[in-house]
Amino acid sequence: MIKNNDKISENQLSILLFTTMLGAGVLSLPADVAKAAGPNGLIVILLGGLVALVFARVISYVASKFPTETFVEYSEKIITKPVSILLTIFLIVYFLIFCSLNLRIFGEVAKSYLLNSTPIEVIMITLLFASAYIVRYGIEPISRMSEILFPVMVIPAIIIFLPAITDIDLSNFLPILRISPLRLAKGILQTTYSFIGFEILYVIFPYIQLGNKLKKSINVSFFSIIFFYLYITFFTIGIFGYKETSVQLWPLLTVIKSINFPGFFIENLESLIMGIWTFAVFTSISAFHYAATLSLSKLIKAREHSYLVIPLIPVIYFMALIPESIVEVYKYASYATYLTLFFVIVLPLLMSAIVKLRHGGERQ
Amino acid sequence: MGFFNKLFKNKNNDNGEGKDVESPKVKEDIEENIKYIKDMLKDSDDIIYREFWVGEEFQHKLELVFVDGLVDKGIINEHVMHSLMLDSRQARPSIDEIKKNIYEVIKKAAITGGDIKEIDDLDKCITSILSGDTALFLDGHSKVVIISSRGWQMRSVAPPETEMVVRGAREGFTETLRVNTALVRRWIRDPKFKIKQMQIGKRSKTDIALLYIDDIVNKDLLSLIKERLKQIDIDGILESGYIEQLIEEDWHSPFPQMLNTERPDKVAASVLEGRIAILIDNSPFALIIPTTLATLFQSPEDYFERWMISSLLRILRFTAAIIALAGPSIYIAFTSYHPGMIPTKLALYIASTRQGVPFPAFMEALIMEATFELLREAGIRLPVPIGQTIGIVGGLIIGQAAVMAGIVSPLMVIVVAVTAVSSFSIPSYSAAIAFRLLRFAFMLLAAVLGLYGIMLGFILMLTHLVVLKSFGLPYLSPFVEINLSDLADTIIRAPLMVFKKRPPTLDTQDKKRMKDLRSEKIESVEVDRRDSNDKKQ
Repeated sequence: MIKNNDKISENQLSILLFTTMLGAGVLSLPADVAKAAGPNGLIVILLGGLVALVFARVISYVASKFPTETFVEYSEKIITKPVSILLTIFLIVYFLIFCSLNLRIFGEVAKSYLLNSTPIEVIMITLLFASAYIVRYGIEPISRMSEILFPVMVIPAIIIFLPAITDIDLSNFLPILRISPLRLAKGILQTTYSFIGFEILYVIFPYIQLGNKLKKSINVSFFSIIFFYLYITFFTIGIFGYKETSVQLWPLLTVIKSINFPGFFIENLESLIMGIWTFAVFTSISAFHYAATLSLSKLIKAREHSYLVIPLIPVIYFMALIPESIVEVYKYASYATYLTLFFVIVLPLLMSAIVKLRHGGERQ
Repeated sequence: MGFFNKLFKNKNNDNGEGKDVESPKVKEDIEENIKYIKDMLKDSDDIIYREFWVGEEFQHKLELVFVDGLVDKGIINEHVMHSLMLDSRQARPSIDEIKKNIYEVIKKAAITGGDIKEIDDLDKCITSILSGDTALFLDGHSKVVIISSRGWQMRSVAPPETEMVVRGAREGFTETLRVNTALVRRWIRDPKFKIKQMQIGKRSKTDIALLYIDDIVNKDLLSLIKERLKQIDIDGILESGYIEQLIEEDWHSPFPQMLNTERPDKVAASVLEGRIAILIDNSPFALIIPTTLATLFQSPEDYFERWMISSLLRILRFTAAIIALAGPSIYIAFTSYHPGMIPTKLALYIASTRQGVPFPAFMEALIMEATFELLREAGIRLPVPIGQTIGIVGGLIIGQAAVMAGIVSPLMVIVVAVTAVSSFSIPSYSAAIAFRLLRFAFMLLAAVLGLYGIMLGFILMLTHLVVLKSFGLPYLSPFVEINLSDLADTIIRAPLMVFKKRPPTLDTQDKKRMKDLRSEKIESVEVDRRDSNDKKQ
């Protein structure tokens, strides 16, 4: 019972991955897939999720060869030191980008839906400091927080859509699969953006109590988030149709506004969803913040990651303020997808190939 | 704890120096012994010295020393003085024998009191005297006989006033340690149930008892608690709150990291689960370690009533905690930031009632909350009959008058009242005050950032809670590091058959709690059926 090893169990990892992936992107997810694949949005999510799962497994395969090391250390052994340092810096920037993107989108939504007259800076900086507060204590509290917030986020989000089940027009999902393979592939790639977060697998391996359920727990977290995304997209496109969905910025909030929960006190349920979503964004931001801090501390060989939490706050904050408007935010997000392409697909494949070859060589 | 460790280290050094002065041994000359004691206890006029002589020619001088008021005079008169002065004349051991071994003689023949022991350390002797024992000195003998004669005016066992239940025992702890340990012992007759005593407090020398079951409790936890208790170096322990604050992990936290209870049945149940209880002399509150947030919502009655009813009550209490925490702040957030989110009719109604109110919602809520806290505080101080009057005056008249005067809106009064009632429905008083305290922080956050502020408040509070540990056990334990069989006793209270094992998070030695009677029964029924089927075939 008395343990303080700063390690998380594999079950906790599963929930941590789920809450990290579920972030700010969920609000615009139905619009993204509707734009990309029209009525085939659900298929795109399913396939995109499966693709992400495959690469998450590749990353965890490489990382599990070096269970006591983070990316900073094991990449050195795989792809020489200079390349490793360069990639680590990119990885840190990558985590910071998604941290700040989440933060900025949260700020924008909170400002337009909740606090019209409050400056966006105040909203962002308060959330960032809240994240710093938990990141300082390391991965154990972060994953515990995910465990606490997981049911709080998922259960109401699932219940809230149920009264709208009669409003769904199934013809909105027709025609099925009448889409060019190229467009489908592009759509899949774009959807991968909604699964970003599992890259923390690059750095958190030394903090997992490894048993034999690792693969299972990664699978569980991916299948549950695929199901969750399918669920909300099914309702959004089912109610609005893909055309109406694709022109909206945050279709999820609009669709919830249209749901009339019988006999409920709060008229507009978007306040409830905003609350839940605050938790979702917070868990993502804190996980990215932690991953960035941890990689940086390993890179400069700092003794404790907690000293670097505060110095990263201004960095994230100013990165979040770079885009001029919300339209630009999403433009930047689409640029970041190229980095995703590299870190999620190219790098894992490259590293696993090297690891495999080397292991094969050793065996001979 | 680092801060405390530093603190303790310095004091330990002091202690080491103090130990160099050896406490004097009991001398053969009775006059010297009495002189030493009289010196030490100078100007203490409640000490009684009673000299008397026994023997055929009154040649043996004896002296009794005790504190007036702490001893049971009946024991001294009947079982000591009477025996020694009158009855002992009938049995005549030789003088030499008496001198050689008075203890044996007295033990065997003279004193009819129950509990006696022999010591040779004068300082220990003084401590015993001050604890209510009687010391018997004998001239020419270098030991002193301590006769247990404690007996003073004490409150009798009464119902636990802060933790009443409808169904369940009505006994509550009193201020006397011995009575309290006996109350718990009556629940558990296991020989492995230990009551380990120690003294803490340089001047108060308060008796403290650790209660645990030897073959259930986690040994690491036990040694950790003993370690922390040993580190305490303070002049006096006046209440269990002292111990609680001196051995807890995080003194920044508003949340109680130990459960305090007046109920022996709660202590017995916790000890059976594998927890450790600390009882402190002069305090009717026992501490239970380790404690998690979920245990603060448990009431003994939950286990005595049927599980569905108990589960409903649990859900009610958790809801009450959220209302107690965020009730007024939700009102503030909705009225001042998001009126569009409340149903239109209600929003219009609120707006119309708030029309004459000169304050913003935050000030309005703050005024009412502060008034209510004042009433509550006053209600505790005042004598019981007047306290009730204050409740009526405060609750009804001030609320009504405030609404009529247009200072607050009627809805605000309702919110404050519901919040107050909610905070009373949390079984643990210390947890309830923590929520009361945080309520003001939530109100402030809601006033500045609306609904987002409340969410931020929850995030910050949860962060604090996930970091917090009670003796190594995560404070939100069954909810984090999820364990289904533990979750069955949190927001709901599952049927007793579910709790076949002790809480796994406590990592006890003996994990099994009960035999699975029901499934055995089902199995045996099935076997019977199979048998009969076989026979038919």
